[in-house]
Amino acid sequence: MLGQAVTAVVFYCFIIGFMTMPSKERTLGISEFLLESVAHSLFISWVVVALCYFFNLPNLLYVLILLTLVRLWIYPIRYNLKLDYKVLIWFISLIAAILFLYNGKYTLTFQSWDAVVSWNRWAEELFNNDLHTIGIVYPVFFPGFWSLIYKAMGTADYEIMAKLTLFIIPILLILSHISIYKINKVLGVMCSVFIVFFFFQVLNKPLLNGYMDAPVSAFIFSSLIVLVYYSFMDANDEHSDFVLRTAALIAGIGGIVKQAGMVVVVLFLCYLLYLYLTKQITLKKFGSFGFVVLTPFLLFIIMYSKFSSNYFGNFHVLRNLTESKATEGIYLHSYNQIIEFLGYALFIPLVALSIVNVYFIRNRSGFLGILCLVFSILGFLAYANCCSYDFRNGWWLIVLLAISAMTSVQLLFTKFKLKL
Amino acid sequence: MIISTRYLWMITIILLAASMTLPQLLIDEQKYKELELSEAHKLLPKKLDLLELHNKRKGGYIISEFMPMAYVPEFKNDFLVTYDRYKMFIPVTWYFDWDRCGFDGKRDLRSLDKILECEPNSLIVIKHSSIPDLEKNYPELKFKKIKSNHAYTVFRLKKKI
Repeated sequence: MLGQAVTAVVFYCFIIGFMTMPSKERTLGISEFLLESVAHSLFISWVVVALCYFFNLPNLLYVLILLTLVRLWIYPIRYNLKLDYKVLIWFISLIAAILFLYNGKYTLTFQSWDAVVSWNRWAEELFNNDLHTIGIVYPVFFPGFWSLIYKAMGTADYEIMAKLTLFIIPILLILSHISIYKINKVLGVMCSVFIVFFFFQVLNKPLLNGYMDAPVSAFIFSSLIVLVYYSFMDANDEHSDFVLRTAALIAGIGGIVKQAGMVVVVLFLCYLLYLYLTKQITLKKFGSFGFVVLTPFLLFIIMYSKFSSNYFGNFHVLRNLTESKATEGIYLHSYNQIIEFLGYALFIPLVALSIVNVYFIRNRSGFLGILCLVFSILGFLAYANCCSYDFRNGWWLIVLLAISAMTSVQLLFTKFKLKL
Repeated sequence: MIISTRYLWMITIILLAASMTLPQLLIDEQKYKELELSEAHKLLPKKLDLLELHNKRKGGYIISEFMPMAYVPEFKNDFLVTYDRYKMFIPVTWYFDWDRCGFDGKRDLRSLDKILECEPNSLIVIKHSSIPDLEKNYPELKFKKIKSNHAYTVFRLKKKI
């Protein structure tokens, strides 16, 4: 049982993605290769979850291993991996930082309320190819992912291995920003600082306790930071399409981690439309990347429509809960929560720097910064109306604001030819 | 240094073979299962010895608003939850033994009297602040305190004579 579980974790987190990775010959860094493998693997794993659910399929681990090996044999992936020691040292030190921060704080099994009674319960339901999510549109990427591990084990009684897959989130956070160091040192440092302080320090526990609020913020951050990386790349760079596709894969998965993840799907589509309208990508690429980012959500909605037709869920319940907590009015209440979390000393510079992007609106990075700012404002309105009964529902707003501010700092550094 | 991925299939086979065999060689499966169980017991409120009480009473439901307890392996067949401040009670888990008291699915809300008719050995694990609700809803029942900690009290139930 243990062997199958570990194999399933390794296979679904890192290897299954090889099935769909392009075999085109190219040279890339090992961190980029790992990021692409993880992004493809999570995406394909979700497709497997959906297929299992639609066709009531049992454990597919061995069939998929066979298919992957056949694919690698017949169409080998012809990449030349550049082993950059600086990047490797950075990667190892960040992994060490995670282990240090989680030492003694990580619980082996699910022990927080929602993680036990909702998220892992849905994983158990999916293990039996059944799903109910109490008739509310709750995206179930991680429950689906855990169900694959349970299926490989043949039982949903043992949770340690399934919960271990949550470590893919800090790994994704690290991998998604490491490549940035190659082109923008300033942006790379800002990302590292944000990841360490916001995700590994402030959201330390919620990132790995089985709640989905911190993971959805992490997926939003990862996909946007890859998108920012793309925006700073040379338009003629042969890797740019691969980077854009990686961002699409992560954003697509982010969209089904929790409802808030849909923000990054819509934001990605808007940016894609901008790239198409400004003739930076072709219609074919617009269509294919749009398809990639929408596929996980479409699969989920088809799954959901099989057991419920209530697409607005418990909005009125959440709204009542919010109103009962926001005695000073929902908008002021939500604003106060953000100030309480960030303090004016962080909030004002973040907003000011985000607004600086307006000056760079003609630049595709500046446009992305503006898009993040606009979506953080729209997100704030949505958050205030439905979910401000608890600030964990709004952590992703900080991510959007931070990405926007980081973009403008990098643009300012470039404009004034400043260096670290 | 440049590494080619041409032979990635070989690395994949080695990686999968290692992940398939090494855990079984390095970790004792029985110990692993025990570890899982002891971790699951962390879901129980502390200092109430609920497992011991449940075992001693040989049957009977555990009734509470603290839903995570439903997922403790020993309670998976025996847990009823309340969503309406101790008025009505229903099973929650996938594994529930529906036949035992003739429960008809997850919408079959039952009152305490009915539950006690079928399982007189049931225990209520209740937050101190919810005790007035229970007493108000069931004035005909007698609550015998068995144990308590800083947050919860365990009651045994009987009909007043």
